[in-house]
Amino acid sequence: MVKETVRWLVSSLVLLFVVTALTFVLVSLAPGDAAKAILSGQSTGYTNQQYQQMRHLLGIDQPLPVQYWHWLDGLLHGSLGTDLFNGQPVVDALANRIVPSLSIILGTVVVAGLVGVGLGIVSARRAGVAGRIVDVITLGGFAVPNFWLALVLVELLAVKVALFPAGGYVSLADDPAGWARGIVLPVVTLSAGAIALIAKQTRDAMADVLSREFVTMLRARGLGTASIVYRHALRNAAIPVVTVLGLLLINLLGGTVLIEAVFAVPGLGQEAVTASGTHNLPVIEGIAFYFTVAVVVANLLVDLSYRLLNPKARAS
Amino acid sequence: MTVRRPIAVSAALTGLLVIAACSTGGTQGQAGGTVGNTLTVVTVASPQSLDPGKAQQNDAWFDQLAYEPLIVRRSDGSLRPGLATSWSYQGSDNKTFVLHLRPGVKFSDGSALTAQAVVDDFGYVEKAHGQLAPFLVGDTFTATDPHTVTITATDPNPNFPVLLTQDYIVGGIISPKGLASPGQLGTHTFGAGPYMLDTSRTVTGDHYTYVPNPNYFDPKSVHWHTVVLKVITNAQSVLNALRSGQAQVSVGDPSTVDAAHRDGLTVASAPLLWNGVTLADRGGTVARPLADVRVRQALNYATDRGVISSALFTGNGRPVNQVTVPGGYGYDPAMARAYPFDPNKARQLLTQAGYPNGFTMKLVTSEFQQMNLLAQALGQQWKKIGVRLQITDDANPDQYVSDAFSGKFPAFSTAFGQLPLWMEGPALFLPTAAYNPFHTNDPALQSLYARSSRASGATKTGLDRRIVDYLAQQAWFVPVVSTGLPYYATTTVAGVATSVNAPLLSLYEVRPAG
Amino acid sequence: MSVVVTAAAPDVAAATVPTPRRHRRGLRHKPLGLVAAGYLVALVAASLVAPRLVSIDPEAQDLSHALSGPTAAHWLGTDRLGRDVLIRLLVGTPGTLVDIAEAVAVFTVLGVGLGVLAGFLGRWTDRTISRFGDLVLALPGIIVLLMVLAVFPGNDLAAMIALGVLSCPVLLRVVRAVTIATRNELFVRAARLSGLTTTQIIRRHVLPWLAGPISVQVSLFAAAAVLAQAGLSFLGLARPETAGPSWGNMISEASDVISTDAWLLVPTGGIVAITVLALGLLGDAVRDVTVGRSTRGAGRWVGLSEAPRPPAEATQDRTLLSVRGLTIGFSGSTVVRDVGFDVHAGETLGIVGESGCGKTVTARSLLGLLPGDGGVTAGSIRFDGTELVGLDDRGLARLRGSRIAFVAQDAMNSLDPTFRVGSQLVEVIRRHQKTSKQDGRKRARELLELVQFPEPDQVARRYPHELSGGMAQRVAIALALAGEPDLLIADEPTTALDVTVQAEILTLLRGLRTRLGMAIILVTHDWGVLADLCDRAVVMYAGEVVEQAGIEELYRAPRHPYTAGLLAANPHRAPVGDALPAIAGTVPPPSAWPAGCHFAPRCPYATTECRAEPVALTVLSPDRSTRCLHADQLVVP
Repeated sequence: MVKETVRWLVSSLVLLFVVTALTFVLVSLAPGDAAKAILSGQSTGYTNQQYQQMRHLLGIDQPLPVQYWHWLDGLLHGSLGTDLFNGQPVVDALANRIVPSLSIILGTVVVAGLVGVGLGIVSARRAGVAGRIVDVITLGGFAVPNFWLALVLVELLAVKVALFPAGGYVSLADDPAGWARGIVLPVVTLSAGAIALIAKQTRDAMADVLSREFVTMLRARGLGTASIVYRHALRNAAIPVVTVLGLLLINLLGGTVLIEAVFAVPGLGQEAVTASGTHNLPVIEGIAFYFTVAVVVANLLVDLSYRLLNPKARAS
Repeated sequence: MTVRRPIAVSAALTGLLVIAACSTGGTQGQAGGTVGNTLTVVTVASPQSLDPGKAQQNDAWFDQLAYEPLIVRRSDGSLRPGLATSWSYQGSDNKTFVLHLRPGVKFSDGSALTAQAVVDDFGYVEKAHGQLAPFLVGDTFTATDPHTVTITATDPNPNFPVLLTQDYIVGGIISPKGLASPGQLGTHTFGAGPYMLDTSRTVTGDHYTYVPNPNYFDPKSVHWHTVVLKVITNAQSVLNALRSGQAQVSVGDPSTVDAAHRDGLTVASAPLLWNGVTLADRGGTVARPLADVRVRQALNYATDRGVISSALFTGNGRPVNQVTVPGGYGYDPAMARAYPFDPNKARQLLTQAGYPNGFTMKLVTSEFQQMNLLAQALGQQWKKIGVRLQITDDANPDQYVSDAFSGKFPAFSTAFGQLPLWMEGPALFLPTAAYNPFHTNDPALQSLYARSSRASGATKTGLDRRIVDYLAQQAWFVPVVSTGLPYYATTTVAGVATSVNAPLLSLYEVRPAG
Repeated sequence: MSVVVTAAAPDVAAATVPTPRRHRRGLRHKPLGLVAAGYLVALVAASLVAPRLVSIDPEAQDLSHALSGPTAAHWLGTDRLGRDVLIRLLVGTPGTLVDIAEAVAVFTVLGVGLGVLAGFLGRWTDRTISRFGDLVLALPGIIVLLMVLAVFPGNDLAAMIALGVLSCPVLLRVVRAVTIATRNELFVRAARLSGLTTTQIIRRHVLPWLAGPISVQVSLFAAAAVLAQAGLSFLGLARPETAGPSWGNMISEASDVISTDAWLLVPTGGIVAITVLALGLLGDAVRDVTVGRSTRGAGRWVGLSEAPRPPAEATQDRTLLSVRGLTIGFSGSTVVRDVGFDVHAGETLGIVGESGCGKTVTARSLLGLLPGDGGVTAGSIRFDGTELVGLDDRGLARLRGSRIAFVAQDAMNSLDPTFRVGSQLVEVIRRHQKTSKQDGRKRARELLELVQFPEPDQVARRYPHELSGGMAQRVAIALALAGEPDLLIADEPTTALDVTVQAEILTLLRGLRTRLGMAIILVTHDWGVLADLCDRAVVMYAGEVVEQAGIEELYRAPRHPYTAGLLAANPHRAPVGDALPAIAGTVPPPSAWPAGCHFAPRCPYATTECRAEPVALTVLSPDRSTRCLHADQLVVP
């Protein structure tokens, strides 16, 4: 157990290191920099001297490894640096943005998990029309571009019938009901594709488990359908499904970008687009850092549930 | 519905946006009627910084609520007292400008407004390298008495009154406490305006909550208990926010104007930008044909402005052949019929210039203000006189700016916000201007510019027109269409209005309807 | 861009299914897959041919008819510059498909290359590559893509390559798993022994097996890439219009004008949605075909309900189970024909024969446990006065476990790996006897003692994977006994076990029979086991009963050449040191059954008569029958 924890820690740290270093390199490869972004606002143009001065002011004139080293050093002291444009500590700037993104991501994982697993079971068990309908719905959810779905939903459920807000985000602490109403459309939009994914995985896993010998033997022992499907088969099928849920969680981190744009949600995705447009390196690094932490946590959760579900994994 | 990257560049593309200069006078605002609860205003880009020294002109709303300007510009274009009660030029060469400050004014943090505070503020802005600093650089600021500030410029500046309104941000004065802690300026406000930022209810980059400033000198003109500035980058989502009642006022977008009209929203839009092509290589460095004025004129004749403005800028565009907008700075009604659509004349001119079969030319464009669409339409129209465009469409606005100003492209798409000619010169046509990457130097033009910057009144108006006419005759540009920046409002608010002299919406006048 | 990488995630779905099996049924049996493939082919063809046939210039502008919506002249309407949308979509298709192909190429080359290397070479190569895969999968894809597009603005190729790299671990994992499975297959080992080089082995033996799983992943990834491109375009990051039309920049334009003209989203979003759908369906179909698991109907329970009602037939009272004319079919082909036998209370009946003769299918059909679409097509199974053929699943469930129990050959796989032994036992006990949990646990303990576990409590706490094969079989038997059945069907209960453990289990079964007075049907191919336990035996060959007799008579005087052949090959009876005289040839599959006697091709006595027509069962005495025309010729050895 100790050995495993150490191994997990080491690989997590390696991942953090690689991702943040890679981000640093990529950002610096992109044409332009923050100094240009600031100065190019001046329609009168700017001199090279002004530009060098601005670079120095922003601290982006140092060699890349030095900048990265400073960043790592800051990280050890609990700092992610400051926004190049408004001087706000990145930790504070991103703190407000994590919750909206997480609300949508976790909401989607829960909805997609429940609905997807339900539909997957129906699809795996029912022949004929019912199963086919489920298949078509899930495939449809997969095929429709989600920004397209978002636009349609807003038009129908926010503008035509004002059931939900067209966008924005209400803090959970301020107004729980408003918070819930606000995340409905983003969650529904993202869930469409995710449900397809989970339903497909559940169906495949259930079909696989239901055709296994032990299920036949459970029937031979006289157990009822309910117990076989929901107690035994589902538990076995849950292992691959949980793996996919974990991957879904990771992918949604990036997947919220479009949705946050359409629904005007102040999340990490929007900030990622803004920051990469302005070469706001500390903010980009901060987001990459949080994303990676989320990935590490998601993997850990998958691992833990894997152990919970699969006694073999627990033993080894 | 492209998600626009809210970055500084859009300001560079529009140039600076502007307002007419009227003289002094009048009293501070009409007394508001009722006080509304919450006003939510949507804008498409988050401010890079709230620091008036670093803010971009696009971010004006974020600063004007908290930083009272020295001079207030109203929606009809007139100028009213702000922190200054009166102002005037001394002498005749537009070099010395004197401001008399309102007595007894306190900033939201309790410190007092003094002439020294204003001088310190100018000093800070000058050094902050912000977008607007160039208009103050080199000037001297003096507190001639506790309530009088004198600005002495090295070169004539006929536009001090306009420059010191809320539209150019630098007119908003920062309190001495704010200047003492510049690190805070990016995310906090230290002004003497009607409101102040409530940081506890603000998420940087998403929404900014303002509450009334208890020290404000004119409490009657505070119309709202709370004002929220909300950033929504997607134009369709902006419209949806108003349609669903989540917000009352917003910046609009050419792509949603029709829909806004259909939904019964108030739409205010005054001409603001001219959109067309800069024929930059007038020396023929990379595209020899452009060195001949007849070629440049031919391109103007080969452009069917009417069709383009009605097809691509439905309801929001008007044909224009000058580097301004109809009724704007330097606009010459007498010139309005120059360059009619006449492909034969264009071919004739090309033949005279020695290019009977036309030529091929590179052009760089970007999606901003549909410049890329306009460029494609021009490509088709110019093809008919044999001029073939090789269009580079830069997805990244940074890239576009660096390409356009690099001197590698003989021509580039341009969407330029009309400016007082004095401000336009250093940006658009003087030898050092960014929009003049080949540094074309025309003594006749320079002399007109120098005379205009010293002049005032009708003389100045006449000189400005001559500059615009001269640029048209020399065909340095192919202006095609003028467009406005639309604003939308729900019927629950009043005071959302703009005019050709004041195309930017001022939030001071927005109040509850009825 | 959920799309960006999210959409790549469906690929993962199949990552857990590394079983390589080859083409069971062709793609032509998948109508949806066929339609999807047809659409894709048509799309490519149309995009290549149409621009040459139609004289409309995709760049021709008609500003006075911009955003016209569908008209007779422009079937899918026009765009902002009045250009024809249909022709632009078609002209833009090859470029878009090339982009997708680039992403797919990167994805495939990296995924397959690394996956095969990792799976085949193993050890540190495997560890390094797997680590790399985990790492790439953990990268925040969206940030990487945004950065790549910042470095190469508007460059779809760069974005697609990045997308391929970011998603390749998904394929890598699948390929690695399949490769490992394949590597362990006998033929690769044999190939290695015969001196082929690693490259040759990979090319000739490993890659062909990968074709199925790879094509599944690739079609799904292609779908994801189409979506990703649409998403990037929506963000305004696509290849610009001035570089020619592409689906991406057309979607981008459509979303720009959505409030003025929502129509444009229909053709542009539509072609994306339909293409993604087609790729998804194709992936599904290819998966079903190559992985050989029909998702539709897999694991579905076909009971006996669809079988025809058999003719009622009187049976003797002491007969517990009476099978008559039992015929079983799978997917329309008959695998067991006209099987009949009786089992009396307390009696042990053996069913014997080589593998593939239909023993297990017959045994399972008695409980309605036929896999897939198998079912009883004719005949009667009468148990204690109740007809089982035609009984619905609920009716059968009442008998299963409590009246008739079943013990399978592969004990380990007959236990649910995720539950403890005790919990599985208690559940079955409480299903049959309404007892409290506590009493259930007590009974479970008794059962475990009954199957001779010295420490039942300790065993109850174990998971199946913590049991040895013999222990697992004893647990399976305990589970079968939980309902106190009258008939226990044991399907080769010892075949998978070591010889010593076999003996233990046999002893256990014998003891149980004596103590509990159950009837037992013992399916086996082992004559030793048969002789040891059974009173009577049924010999099966190629789906038919060929001989039935008391065990001693059968041993002493087989009346069917097949029985005789089996006995001669029985190691228990052969003189030590002599080679066993095996029967030449193999059991024919149902599709190759001869018209006459099924055994004729392998039979030394066969004549033209035997081959002419099906041979009927001859009843020699009340307890004895044979399906041979030449039974008389067989002499007692």
